[in-house]
Amino acid sequence: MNLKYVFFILSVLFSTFSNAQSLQTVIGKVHDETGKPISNTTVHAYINNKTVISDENGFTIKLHTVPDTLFFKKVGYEVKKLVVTTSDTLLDVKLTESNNNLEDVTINTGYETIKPNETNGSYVVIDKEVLNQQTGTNILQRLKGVTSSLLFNTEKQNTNPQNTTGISIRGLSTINGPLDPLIVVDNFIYEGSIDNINPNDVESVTILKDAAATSIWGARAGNGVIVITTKKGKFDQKVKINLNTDLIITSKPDLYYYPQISTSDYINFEEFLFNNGYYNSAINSKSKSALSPAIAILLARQNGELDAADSANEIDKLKAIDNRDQFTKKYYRQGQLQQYGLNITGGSHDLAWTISGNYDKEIGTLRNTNDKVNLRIENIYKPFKNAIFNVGLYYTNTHTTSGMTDYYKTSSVNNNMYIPYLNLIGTGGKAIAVPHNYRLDYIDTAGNGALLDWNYYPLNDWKHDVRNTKTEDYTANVGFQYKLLKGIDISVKYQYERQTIKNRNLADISSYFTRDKINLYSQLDRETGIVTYIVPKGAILYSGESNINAQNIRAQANYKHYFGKDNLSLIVGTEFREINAKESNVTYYGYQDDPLSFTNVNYTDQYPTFITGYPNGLDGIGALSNTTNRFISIYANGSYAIRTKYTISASARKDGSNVFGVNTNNKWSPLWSAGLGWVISKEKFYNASFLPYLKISATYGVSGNVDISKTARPVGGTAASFLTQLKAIRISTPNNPDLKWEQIYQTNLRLEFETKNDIVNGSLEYYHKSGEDLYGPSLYDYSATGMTSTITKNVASMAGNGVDIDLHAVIINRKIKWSTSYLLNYNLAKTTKYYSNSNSLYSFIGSGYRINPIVNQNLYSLIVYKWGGLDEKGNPVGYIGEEKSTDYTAIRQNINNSEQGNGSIKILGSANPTWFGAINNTVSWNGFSLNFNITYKFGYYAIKPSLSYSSLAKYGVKGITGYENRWQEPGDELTTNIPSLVYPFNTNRDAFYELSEVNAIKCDQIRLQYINLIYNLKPIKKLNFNSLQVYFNASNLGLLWTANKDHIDPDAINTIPDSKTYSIGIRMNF
Amino acid sequence: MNLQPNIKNLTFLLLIYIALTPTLSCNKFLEKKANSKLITPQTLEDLQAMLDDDESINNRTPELGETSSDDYFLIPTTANTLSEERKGFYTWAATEYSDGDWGTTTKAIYIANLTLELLTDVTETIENRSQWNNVKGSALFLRSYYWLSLLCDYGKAYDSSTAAKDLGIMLRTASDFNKIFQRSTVLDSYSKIINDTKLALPLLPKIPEVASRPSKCAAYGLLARTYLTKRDYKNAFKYSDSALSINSTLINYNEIAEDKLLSQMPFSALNAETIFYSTYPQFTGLFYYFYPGYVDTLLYESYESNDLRKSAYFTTDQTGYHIFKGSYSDDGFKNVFTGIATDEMYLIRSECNIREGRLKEGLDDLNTLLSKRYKMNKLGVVSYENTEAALNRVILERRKELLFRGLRWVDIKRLNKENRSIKLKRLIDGKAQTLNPNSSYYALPFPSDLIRITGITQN
Repeated sequence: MNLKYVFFILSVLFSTFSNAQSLQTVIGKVHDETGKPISNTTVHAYINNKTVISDENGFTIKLHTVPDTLFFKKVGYEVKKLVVTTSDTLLDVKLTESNNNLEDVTINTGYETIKPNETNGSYVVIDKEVLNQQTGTNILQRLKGVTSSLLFNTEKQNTNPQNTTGISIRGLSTINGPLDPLIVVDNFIYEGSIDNINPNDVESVTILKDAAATSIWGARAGNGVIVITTKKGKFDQKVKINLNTDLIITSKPDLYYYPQISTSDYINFEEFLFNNGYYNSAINSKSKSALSPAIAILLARQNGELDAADSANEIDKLKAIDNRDQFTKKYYRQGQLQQYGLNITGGSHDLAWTISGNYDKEIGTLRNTNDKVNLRIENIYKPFKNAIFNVGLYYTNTHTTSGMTDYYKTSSVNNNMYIPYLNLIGTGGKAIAVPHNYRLDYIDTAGNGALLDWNYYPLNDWKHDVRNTKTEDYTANVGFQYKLLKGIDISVKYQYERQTIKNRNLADISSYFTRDKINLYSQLDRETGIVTYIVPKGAILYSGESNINAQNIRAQANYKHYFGKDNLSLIVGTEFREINAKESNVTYYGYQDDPLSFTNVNYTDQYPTFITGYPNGLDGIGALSNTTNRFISIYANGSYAIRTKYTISASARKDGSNVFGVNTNNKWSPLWSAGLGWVISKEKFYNASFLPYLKISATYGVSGNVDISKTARPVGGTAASFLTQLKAIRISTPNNPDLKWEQIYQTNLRLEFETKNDIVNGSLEYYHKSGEDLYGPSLYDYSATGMTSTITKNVASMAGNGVDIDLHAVIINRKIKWSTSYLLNYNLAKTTKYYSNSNSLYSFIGSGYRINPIVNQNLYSLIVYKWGGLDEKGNPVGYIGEEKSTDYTAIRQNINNSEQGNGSIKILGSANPTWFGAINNTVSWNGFSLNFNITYKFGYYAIKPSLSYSSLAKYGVKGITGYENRWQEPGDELTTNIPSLVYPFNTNRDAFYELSEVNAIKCDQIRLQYINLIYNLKPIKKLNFNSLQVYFNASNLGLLWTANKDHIDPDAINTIPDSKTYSIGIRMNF
Repeated sequence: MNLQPNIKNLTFLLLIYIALTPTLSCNKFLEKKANSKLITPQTLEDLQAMLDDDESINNRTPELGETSSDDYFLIPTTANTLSEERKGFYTWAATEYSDGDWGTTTKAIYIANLTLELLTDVTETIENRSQWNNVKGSALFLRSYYWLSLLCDYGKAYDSSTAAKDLGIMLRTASDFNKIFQRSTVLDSYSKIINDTKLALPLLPKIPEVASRPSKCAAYGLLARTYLTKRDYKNAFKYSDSALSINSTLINYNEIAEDKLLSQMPFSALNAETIFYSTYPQFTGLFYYFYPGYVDTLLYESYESNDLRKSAYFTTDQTGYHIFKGSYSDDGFKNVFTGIATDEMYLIRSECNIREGRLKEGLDDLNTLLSKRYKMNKLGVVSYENTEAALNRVILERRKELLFRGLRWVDIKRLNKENRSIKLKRLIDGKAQTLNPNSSYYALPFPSDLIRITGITQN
């Protein structure tokens, strides 16, 4: 079917290009009321079925027959109709401006396309010009800094699988339910990876904010909806070719940004611990776990294998190493991304078509690669009167290859201990071995030469252990629309999406992974020296595949009727959705490409492992899974406009699903919304001439937030019992008969205006959002289930207020044009009710990621220990009531035994930005257009990295700072807040300091998000293009200002900040 | 153009379809199971499969009693690396902690409760009767089995004069965590455990298909254990004898090849002595090899050189101290056996015989067991004229044989009730810490967070 369709498109393409003969030539000029020529007007000859586009000099159209009717169409102007009977005269065509500029924008809700004045709901539309101010391959990332009410939660390290975008619209309500806004592409929910969508194919993005806008999407729209509209051809349009290419350079990540203590401090610390016997159990361990180079030297010295001078010398050599330097110079490279895009659209009077192709090629800073191809065909056809038929196909093919392991993984031993002085580069840039999982002195001699080399060589290993991911996605849609009667349209739309992701990780015989596995399972006969291999001597291949098949079918009727000056618009429809997800994986041992083969291994038996002799089995026997979610929905949406002044609107929707369970389906009340709108400026009494357009609207509605992974019944998975291999069911989620779905209620008040000559336009919105039965992790009687100590259940109610302000102003409009967009958002929600009676505040300290159990406090608050300085021994001091205390267990008990912490804690404030927004300036002059975007976030707090001695000992230097300024002798408490080193460690003392007031920072910040410079070349006739743009873009430029004194980037508190990127590119239109 | 009438008909049909489909075909469409791997158990087979999940059922013995016991010790450098919570248990000073046994052992109790609840929706028929009975009997047995182990660690030692007032444990009989259960008395706890086990007895098969499943023999074993801990030696004798009448097999350590005996894994899981299989959750207790917890040196010395257990049970590391490796499990380092085995039944019957004045029968039992443990013909015959001396010996052998099976803590409690004055000592930072006999700490503290959540009474 797809193939036929391609032929169809191609034949259409050629028919459009071939115009063999010409008889009559009609020439004319198109101008506005002042006589200024209007270029890019579509001139369409109806009978001849021909279309040309006018330029500044007018137009020329060649016709087979006259008379004919010419239609002149230009956005912003009324359509003009002119009958031509002869080709002799020069036509003089005057177009009049259409009276409402706002109508240029259309809102695609996913169910219908409406004009802003037809709705009371709250929407933001971002068009491709604004989207193109940023570069990069992810369309959602291009919404940064240009979209009101949308917040990127960059610093929230969330493991919630239902939060992949990191985007929140109008604040967070739930934290453990699904957090992502619903992503819709054209008409249907998009189930594939958002990376599949090429930004070059996007015409606009619409954000649905209030309940009136989102309730049409039903039970999953409680977090807002993002509708991505792809580019489409238009009827009666000349062939347009868009070419776009750019190059994006990503600078090397700044490893020095994220704190770690100096090598010499760390080695001194290790020496201190060594002398206290801290490492004895590691040294004596049967598993021969790796020792850091310094510990290895100290041990050799202790065992008399090194003399004092030699060991001191060796230690000094290590102290000189900071391997971040090595990694930056020898491992990292600049990243490169090339993007190419071609888009051709055209249309005759009964066919509109688009064909496009994109190719992205990326090499990352760690030499990882990513290649992506997109192909798209979209065709709208009028087969006969009153009918529109459309068919489209979007194909994505992505191939990624892993590169080197990152710095922290490379520079750690035993998987999670970060050593800053592991020597990663040998002399002359050669690959050398570093301690990784086992002691070097052990693996050197372990098998008396009978084993494979057991060393880890970080510089080369990535070449032998390669992970490939291939993603293919097909999204095909067909639609049919028919005008049944005057005002009644009916339509059926169907979409099929299939995404296949194939993962393949091939670790060859030279890779550490494979050598380690082979050695671990080697059965060495010490007498004969003969090795029996359990893991065959060959490559190990992990192969996994996951498929998503999504089908949607929707039938909808649209009704529009004019009663004099009033009009009624109504849609009703029903929708079926099925999403099937399948996964499978298997591991092959002794794998070979040519001849394609692998060795059978025994997955069930256990074998003594080489180092400890403890038995273990091989993993990778394979796994399968299959999930099907089904939804049925009915919905209706209607509005009634009275004399274009007053609009009444309402919508309702009901969903059923196989995940909710029958009981919930029956209980689930329909989601609905209602709204009122009033265009004040159309009233007779209105005479504010400086404000020619003024509209207010109010909406109220309910939308839902359904976590499809939760049910009230106990849920388990099947497995084989470890011991007996009997069929077993393992319950993973306990039954919770009290579980309900979240409901979000939202009231929205909106004011839209436009000043005279459109110098300033914008909107002001106030909303009130309340949520009931919010999901949250909660303590519960875990002795009932013996499972996790917290459970996600309905824990709280919340209420919040917010303000969204969008202003667009043209400040100078002469030869130099300067326009600015101001986006300002305020959002603050408080806990209004907390259902759990066991609000052990202790577990809320420091995180800010959980719903605050204290009523009337911010829904997400940063709670910290109250700080009483250091005492004369360098101990951090806290409070119990009014009393100072260094009994950290007592402080913890005090917090737990009181409702509000009884003096031991401080609630600093919101953990999420309460004020945020952006200022986007565009200055254009003579073909140049400079754009700079400044974003800001205010009013929130976070915990900065500090010093925990027990973590430093256990996990090494990553994210540890302040060691050199610690309390060392009495009196230091006057100059430092960093506690003294005590041994044995006191983990409660460490935690107290880490999560106390002194380590909280204000995150208020202003940053330069991007700069974009465009140069528009004047059209050059000879080169036959309409426009040619050269652009330059710089992104992630960093902080301009932050409130915290440590100059910590609040967007990268516990990570390395996003690397700066620089792009240069060309955009051409023919 | 002549297509139009058809189209009109079609669209008319379509409108009807829009109006009617949701009501007509919804339910069928929505009946599809969401995840073929995820299961909400319903059938009898599902329930049996829940009970066969060894990770939830056989891997759940509480470990904090053993952690608090005296069969092992930590060297100071290891003790120094412990978290505050762990150190609290090592030094008999635990206060603030969360989860622990009450977050793990209770999984098996939860599954048992869930099984009993879901079983009420499964009709008992002639065809499914034996399976239905097995599921019900197993759930009752398992719940009692783990209740007893929790009671031994968290309840006061049984004392007939105070048992009606002393606090035992929560006897949770519902899976819904929204329902809170308070602690029952020691007396009520014992009654419930004994009654439920007796209810399970007629429902269970004599010998199980695999020893990871409950059986009549296991239920007798559980009753013997239960009565022993409450010092009802008459009944303990009776039920250990019943258990041994079904299975009296002992493994002769002489018949295990020497290199196997010396290896890291001399025994296997579900071996001939195993009546019911259970272990601690993996890697939790301080007595495990990787902390490492070393076997008390005096206890180690008490194994004679002719005793095969000395080499089967212990391995020595660089420090010269000894690590336990003699568990009846598939991997003695990951899983330490805590289940019911015939050796324990012999020891119970032996002890009860002696206590009840049947010295000869008692010593016969002991000799039967030890002859399988000592090198062939090296034991001689253990014989005592004096009941007290015989009792002392059987108690010592009990400690040596049932090492790390989760029985030591309750044995100390029980024996101290008989004035055996077992005083626990640990060396911490060079200072000796002690736990006096019959200290109230023998009823271990409940997790402090659980106290806050449920409002139950702390020890």
